[in-house]
Amino acid sequence: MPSTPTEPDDYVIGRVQQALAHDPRVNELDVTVTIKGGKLFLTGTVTTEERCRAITEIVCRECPDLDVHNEVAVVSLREPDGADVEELT
Amino acid sequence: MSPVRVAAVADVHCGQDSAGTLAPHYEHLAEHADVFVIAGDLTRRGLPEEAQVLAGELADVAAAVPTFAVLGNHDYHSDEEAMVAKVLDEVGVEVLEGAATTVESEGGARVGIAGVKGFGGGFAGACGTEFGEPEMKAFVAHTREISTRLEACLEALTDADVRIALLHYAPVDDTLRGERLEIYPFLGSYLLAEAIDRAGADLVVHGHAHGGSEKGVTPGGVHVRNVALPVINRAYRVYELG
Repeated sequence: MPSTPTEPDDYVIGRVQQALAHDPRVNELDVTVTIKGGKLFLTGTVTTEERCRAITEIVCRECPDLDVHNEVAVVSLREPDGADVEELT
Repeated sequence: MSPVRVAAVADVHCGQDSAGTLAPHYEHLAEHADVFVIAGDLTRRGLPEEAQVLAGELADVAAAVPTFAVLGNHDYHSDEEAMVAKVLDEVGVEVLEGAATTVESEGGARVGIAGVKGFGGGFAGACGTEFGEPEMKAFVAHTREISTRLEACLEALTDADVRIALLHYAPVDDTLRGERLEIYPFLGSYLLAEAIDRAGADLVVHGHAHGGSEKGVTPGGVHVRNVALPVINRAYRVYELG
C-alpha cells in the first residue's frame, strides 16, 4: 500500500522496515529509518553495493510520495595489517 | 606456550551478490592468526546456495587456518540451517552448534572453542522471564537451554590452554553501546554471560549488534568482543591471548 499524506510517520517507518526485512534482495534488519521534515532517511551499513541500491528501489516503491535519502554505507572489508592486533591479558 | 592469535568476524551476510567480495580480504589471514572464528549471520537468508557462495569465499583460508563458525538468526530464516552448516563443513569450516572442539596452534597451544548461536532476553534489570504466555516462556527457555549447553561445552574443554566462547548473540550489554536501548532484549541475554562466567573462558566473540561497540567484559571479568562487520570496519580483527 503506498503512503498517503494522512498516514502517520511511525506507520510508514514500520512498513518500510518490514519491507526491508522481507525483500529477498536485502533481508535487512539493521537499517535505521527516520522521517523528518517530510523526508525519509535511511542509515546503517550493508555488505554489498547491490544491496545498497536495492534498498533505494524498495523504499521508493514503498513510499512513492516521500523524498527518500539513502545514506546507508557499504561496509569496509579492508584486510588488517600485521600490526593491527589487540593483546588480551 | 606461544600466544594464540584469533582472527574473528561476524555478520558477513553472504548472498549471491557476495561472490568474489570476501576471499581477497582473507589472503593474508594465515600470516596473522592461528584460528579463524566467524560469529554467525553467515548468510543473508539462510539458503544453501548462499552458503555455497560463502564456502567458495572461505575455501582457501579454511585450508590454511583452522576455521570455525556458529550460525546466526539470518541463517535460520529458510529452515535450512543444517544444509548451510553441511555446505560449509565440506570446505573445512566447522560449524559449532552447541558443540566444542580443540585445535592445536602452530606454537603448540591447545585452543578450545565452544560454539552456540545464543538468543535474546535482555540484561540485568530489564530482561524477560519464563512467565505468562507460552510464547514468552518459550522465548526465554530457548535462551536458557542454549546457555546451559554453552556452559557444558566450555566445561568439556578440560585439556585446552585457551578457551573461546563463540556466539552470535551478545552476552553483555557493554558491546551493545550505540544500539537503541529498546532492542537490547533482542540482541542478547545475561544468561549467556552467566554460563560463561560459571564455566570460565578467556575470550567471548559475538556479532549481531551492527550498531554496537567492539569491547566489553562479562561480570566475571572475561573479555567480550563484538566483531560484527560494521563495528570492526575491516575484514576481521585479530586478538592475541596468553
